[in-house]
Amino acid sequence: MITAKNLTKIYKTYHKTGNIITDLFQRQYKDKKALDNISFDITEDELVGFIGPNGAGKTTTMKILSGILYPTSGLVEVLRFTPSEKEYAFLKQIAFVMGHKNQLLWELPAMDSFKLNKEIYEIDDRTFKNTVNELIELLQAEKLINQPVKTLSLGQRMRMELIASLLHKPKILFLDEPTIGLDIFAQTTIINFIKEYQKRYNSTIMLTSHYMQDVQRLAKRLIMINHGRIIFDGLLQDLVAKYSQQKMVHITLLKPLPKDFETPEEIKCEYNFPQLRINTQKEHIAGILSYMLKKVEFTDVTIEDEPIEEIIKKIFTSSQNTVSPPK
Amino acid sequence: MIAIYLAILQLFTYRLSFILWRARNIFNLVFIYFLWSSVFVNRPSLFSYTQEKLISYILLITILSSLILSTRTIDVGADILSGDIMNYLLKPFSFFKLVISRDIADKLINVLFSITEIVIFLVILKPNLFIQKDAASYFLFFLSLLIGGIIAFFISLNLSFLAFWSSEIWAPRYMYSIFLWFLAGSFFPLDILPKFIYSVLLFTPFPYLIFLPSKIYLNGFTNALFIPITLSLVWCVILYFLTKKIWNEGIKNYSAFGR
Amino acid sequence: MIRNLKIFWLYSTFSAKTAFQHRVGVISFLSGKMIRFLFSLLFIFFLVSKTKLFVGYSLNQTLIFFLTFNFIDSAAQLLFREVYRFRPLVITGELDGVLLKPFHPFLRVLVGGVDVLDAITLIPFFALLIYFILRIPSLTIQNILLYGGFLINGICLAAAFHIIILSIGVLTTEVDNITLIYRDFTKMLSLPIDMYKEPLRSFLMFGIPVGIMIALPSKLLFGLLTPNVFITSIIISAVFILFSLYFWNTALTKYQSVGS
Repeated sequence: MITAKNLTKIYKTYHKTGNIITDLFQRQYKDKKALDNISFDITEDELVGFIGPNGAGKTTTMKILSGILYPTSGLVEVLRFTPSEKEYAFLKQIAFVMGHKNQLLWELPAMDSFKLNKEIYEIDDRTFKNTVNELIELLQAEKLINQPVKTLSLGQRMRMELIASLLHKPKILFLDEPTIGLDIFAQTTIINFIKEYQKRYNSTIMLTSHYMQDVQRLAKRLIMINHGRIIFDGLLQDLVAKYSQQKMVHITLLKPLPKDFETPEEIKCEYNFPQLRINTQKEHIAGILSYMLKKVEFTDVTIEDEPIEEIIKKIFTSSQNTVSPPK
Repeated sequence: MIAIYLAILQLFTYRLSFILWRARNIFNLVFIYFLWSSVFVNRPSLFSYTQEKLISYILLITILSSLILSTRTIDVGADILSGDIMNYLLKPFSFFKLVISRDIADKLINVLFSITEIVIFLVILKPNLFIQKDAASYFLFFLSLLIGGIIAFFISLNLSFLAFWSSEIWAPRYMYSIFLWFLAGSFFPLDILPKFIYSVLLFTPFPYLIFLPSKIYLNGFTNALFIPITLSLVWCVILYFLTKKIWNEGIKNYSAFGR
Repeated sequence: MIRNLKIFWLYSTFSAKTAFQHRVGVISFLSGKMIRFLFSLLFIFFLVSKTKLFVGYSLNQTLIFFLTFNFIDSAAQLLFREVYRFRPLVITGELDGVLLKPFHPFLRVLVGGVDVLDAITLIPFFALLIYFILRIPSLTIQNILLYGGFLINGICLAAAFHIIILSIGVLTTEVDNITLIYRDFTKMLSLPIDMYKEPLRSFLMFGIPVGIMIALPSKLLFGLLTPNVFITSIIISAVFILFSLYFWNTALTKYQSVGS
């Protein structure tokens, strides 16, 4: 459904030297390579998490896939269209929701924006009514649609934005930081909605977010991007398997630790009776557990993977060091 | 001095805006110049002005507008609405000194560019100009400029002070600018108007901003100008006390809301 | 086509609703414009009745030049008001949302903010125009038709100007000043174009075709045109309008958007 091949995007930016005369008469331009030869494929009914630090190229990629920006070089094909040509048949099948940007008529109730979209996307009356009701029900937004958009809170506005963007049942939904700036309840509402929506309508969703909980809860597939290059593209569980050698063992003790309790150096311990946390390599787990069984009495043991945030942070930091920013 | 340097720096940050703004002033001048030139074709004088004097009037008005009518007192309105003005009042310098120095910096830049544009204009179009020869008239001319500047300053400041009571300060200022455009003499000398209308105008502050100084320059001092000059001084004094009163009331009203 | 009209209609009604919410500001602005118009009108009356002729035109004719200017200027402002709000659209990134919709962005950024109150001001202009036109001594049907035709052409040229302004906005966001310069140029033609000497006159007439937009209709009405000027004007108008559309499409390819 979505194909990117050798996609590169270079921005031209002005470079201020601080010297009044040159800035006035001889402006200097700098090329910034936002995307460096990236390639990936996304098929139907996938929910892809697209993560990377600020400036990594996530939003640029999504804007190119949706047709807002033109690629500098490379091939982009979405739903068998070239996005930058912005053919109406293409635009009618996609939707783009940006977290901190407004697409609704500001001074009027959201319902007016919905009616506008109804005409723009040529939705017939009955489908429109049904869709609006479904979405309102999923998002618990019945009372909100008739208030002026400017009077809504950020979380409420995001819900309205989502409804407006989904009225035409797009095949592909681009979500750029949809939960940014929202409190935890609003975030949860939106994330749950996206999950439910994808289940019901089998659309392809591409999601960027800074919040790992979003990505973890929604995406099975992850694309990690940094400095305009893709550094990981695969399933979330493979990420853990490939990059994480560490496990966390969490023991709830019955009695305090004996004084002769010792652990080998390479094993990190955190002891706060009755909790004992041990961070260790996967290979050592059997050893640790047998040691524990001998030495201590405990009521509970859990073994967890290293948190995804830690894994991802590690991957990004190492990519920072080995993959230098393109000039 | 620092205020001036900062003002220049600010302008260059928006250099395209700045260039375009100056260009607009030139267009306006071109329009008015050709308007009057056309009127004087085959006509030695009209409304007791010769072509020479009227063109000189137009050019003079252009420079004087940039000197007297340009102001940064509009920022005061924004400062009041945003609450920033409280910061200024807490600092150990006079707020008014700051406003005045901002204004002077702005006026200096405006005048500089205005004169440059006029010079370019003169070089290209080479109109005949009238040059005042009487020294005493010059003295009076500069005096009337000062008065005009003060009047303009106070009026604009008071329009900004409206912010103490309402956030809709845009509308009154807009209305003022429209009346100013017509009644200050920025595209025709006020004394071509019928005598009755002219006399009524003399009781408003509008003629004393840029028209009166220009008149003094063109005609030299005559007894007929005695009354207008006196009236301008009267306005000066009235506005001074009015401004002071409004400021005091405004501050009182403002602080009461604990902003 | 019908769909486009429907969308245009919706945007216009929404624009009216929004304007109604800000009616105090809208009415102040409108009153200001009316006062300015009245002042200018009075001045022209006053001046030209004293001088009898202005660059060879009678008071009646001068007034027609002036009223034609006001009519086209107001009609343009009425239709293209949304262009004045373009800068915030680009800066906040809201433009992206517009470009993603399956309709021509002009429906939103060019004519999406039709100003209903400006429509009301057109009525007095139109009425006054008719009054003064009827007082022309040697009026012919042909001239009237030419006048009307080039009035419409003037609005098309105004559209082209605004499209160019939008394109510049997409590239540099410096919309406001360019718009004001455009307004200044048109204002220079509120009085007969003959008042300018060459080469300025030809520049205004054909160079930046404000002359064709505003001065030409009136000249046609007075029967003052040669076939040469007539044909040149049509060609220049067509070229200018096509250029503006080309410029817009090019600007979009260079669009860099905002935010990362």
